[in-house]
Amino acid sequence: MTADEGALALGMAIVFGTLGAYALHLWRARKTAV
Amino acid sequence: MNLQRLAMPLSVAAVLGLALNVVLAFWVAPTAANFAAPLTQRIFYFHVPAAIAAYAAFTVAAAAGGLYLRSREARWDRVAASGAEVGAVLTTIALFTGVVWSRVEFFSAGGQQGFTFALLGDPKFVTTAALWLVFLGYLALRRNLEPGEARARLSAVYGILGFLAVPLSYLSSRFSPHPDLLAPGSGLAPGMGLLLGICTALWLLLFAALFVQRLLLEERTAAALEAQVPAMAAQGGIA
Repeated sequence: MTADEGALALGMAIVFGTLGAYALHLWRARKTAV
Repeated sequence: MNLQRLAMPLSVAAVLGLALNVVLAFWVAPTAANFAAPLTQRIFYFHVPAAIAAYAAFTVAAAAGGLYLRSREARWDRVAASGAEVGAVLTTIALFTGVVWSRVEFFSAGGQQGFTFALLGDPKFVTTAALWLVFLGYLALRRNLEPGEARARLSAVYGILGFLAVPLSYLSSRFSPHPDLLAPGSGLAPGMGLLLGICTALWLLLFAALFVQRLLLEERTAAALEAQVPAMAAQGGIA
C-alpha cells in the first residue's frame, strides 16, 4: 500500500468512523432516554 | 412541525446522500492536477463539505442561543445544544481529514521534516482547531452544570461568543498557505466546483438529519426530567 492509498484509507476511516460512532451514541442514548 | 415524523425520512436521505458522496468523490470526480498525492486529494469532497456543515451547525447554535436570551424559552436552549454538538462532530471530521491530507501531501511533495511546524504555522488549522476546542468546551460546560435556566443562559452566551471563531476559521485560508482549490489556476479541474457544491448540499442534509435526531433526544430527556419532578415532589423528594 502506498502512502497515498494509506492516507486515503485513514481519511475515510475518520469520516465513517466518526459518523458511525456518533450515530451509535445517539441510538444508545435514545434507548436509555425513554 | 413534527420532528418525530421528519427524523426517519431525513436519516434515510442522509445515508443515501453519503453513499452518493462516495460515488461522486471516487468515480465521478476527475483527478486534480498539481497534487503530489492525487488519491488522497479526494478527501476534499468530504473535508470541505464537513467544514461548511459544521459552520452551519454553529450558526444554528449561536442563533438559537440569541433566541433563548431574548425569549427564555427552553426549547431554544435545546436547539442550541443540539447544533453545537453536531457541529463539534462535523468539525472533528473536517479537522482530522485535513491533517491526514496535508501530511501525505507534505511528504509526497518531498518534505523531509518539519510537518508539525508547517501545520502549526497554518492559520486555517490553528483557527479551526480553536473552533473545535471552543465547542468541546461548550459541551463540557453543559455536561457539568445542572439543567436549568443558569445553564441555558451561560450556554447561550458561550455559544454566541464561540461563534466568533467561525468567521475566523472560514476567512483564515486567505491569510495562510492552506490550498484554496476554488481559486483560478489552483489545479481544480472543470466540474470539480459543481461536484463540491453537490457534496456540500449532501453534508448539509446529513447535518439536518443528525441535528433532528439529537434534538429529539434532547426533547425526550427534557420531557422525562419534567415528568420526574412532580413525581419526586409527591414523594417528598423535593421540598
